[in-house]
Amino acid sequence: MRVRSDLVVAGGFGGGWEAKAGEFVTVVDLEGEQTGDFIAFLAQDPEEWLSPVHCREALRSIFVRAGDQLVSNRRRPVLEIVRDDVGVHDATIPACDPTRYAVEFGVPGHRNCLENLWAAVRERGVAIERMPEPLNLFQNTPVVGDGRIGLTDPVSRPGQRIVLRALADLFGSLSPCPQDIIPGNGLRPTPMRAVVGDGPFEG
Amino acid sequence: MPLLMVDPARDPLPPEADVPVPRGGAVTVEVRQGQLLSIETVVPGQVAELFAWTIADAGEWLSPHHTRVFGGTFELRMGTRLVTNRRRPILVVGRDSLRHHDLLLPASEASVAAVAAAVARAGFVVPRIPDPINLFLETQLHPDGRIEVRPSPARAGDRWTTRVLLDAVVAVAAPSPSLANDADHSVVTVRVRNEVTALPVDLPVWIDEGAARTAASATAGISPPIESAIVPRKRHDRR
Repeated sequence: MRVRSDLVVAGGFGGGWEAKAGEFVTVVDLEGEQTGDFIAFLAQDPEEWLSPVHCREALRSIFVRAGDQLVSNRRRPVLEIVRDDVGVHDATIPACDPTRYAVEFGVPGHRNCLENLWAAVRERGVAIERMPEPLNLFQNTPVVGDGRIGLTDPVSRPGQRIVLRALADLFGSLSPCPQDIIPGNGLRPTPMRAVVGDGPFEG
Repeated sequence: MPLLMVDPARDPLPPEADVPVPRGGAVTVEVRQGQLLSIETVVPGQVAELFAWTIADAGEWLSPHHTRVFGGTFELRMGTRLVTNRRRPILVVGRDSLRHHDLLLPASEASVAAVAAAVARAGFVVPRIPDPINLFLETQLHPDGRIEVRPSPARAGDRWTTRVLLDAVVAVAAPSPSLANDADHSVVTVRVRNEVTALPVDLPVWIDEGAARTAASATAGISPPIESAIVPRKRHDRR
């Protein structure tokens, strides 16, 4: 396999990636039980992005699984899930941001996915108001009784991964979520690895 | 009347308004903290898409996604605090005759275009048309994550009423099933009120007879817990 990029992102921080159409993005949960907020833009036009909101409409589900084609905010397929070791991901929870911690937990100044994700793409001209909703890899958000959102940790084990095939030239970012107050990352943010290449990363 | 504050010194609320939304079109209204914002169907089966930006900063908008997390639920209910992308309550659901809405699905391209045009027409500049609150759209979220979209059970005159907590520009789109824009045919009414008594009387709360029957047979004789059961409403004088 020819590797375009191989990035280890520390838990609670962010990193960028890019992929040409046909290449594979492999995201590995290195230590397990870690959510990775993931966004993708079309390289040709960053006003078009991977949209979990439109995926929900296209897939008629709040969950994604192997074989699914993930669509953009213009309802075009942009990524395909070709391998999924875990089978549990979230397509409904917005990125944690400064107000998530400041307003809901009384902790201003906490690291957060929105700023992690944005820092890795802002040089490409993405305004923070134009940031998409994230696809939250390995995040475990079950529907519990009466339509409530279940709050629990990922079931991913060390080394488990998801492989996405780019259906267009893309760039994006990944933020192993810094949430260490409530379940979501086993109360301990840990690193993830993002490898882009001409095949799924097996290492 | 404005909210019942300890210090009542505050400007009077702006005038009340009734704004018709044409089929396939969108409108904007400005609302102030303390006012009541109602969205009402004119024809059966009609859905409405709701968007809002704060007057103070158009970079802060009503977000269905943050609303779900803030309330810990995928569903929109009585008492739900609708919050912005900065986790601040902007509208709170105070009355609802239908009680079937959606917080999960995106707006159609036609609605996004209609809202962008309405916002521009009104002279507002917004950085983004966010995802909508889908009123009167019935989606059933199953435990396996499946989203089942059902025909809207809305009756003519179903009304959803919120108290406004942040001064805001609100946009309401009335999607047309045929995508046709029919400017002469109003299918949704947006009402802004300063007194709850200035609203028409709500329809009796809609009861999903099919679901009630299923629940009744499942519990075999035990009275089914129908959340939407009609409760006595506090009486007030109507002028």
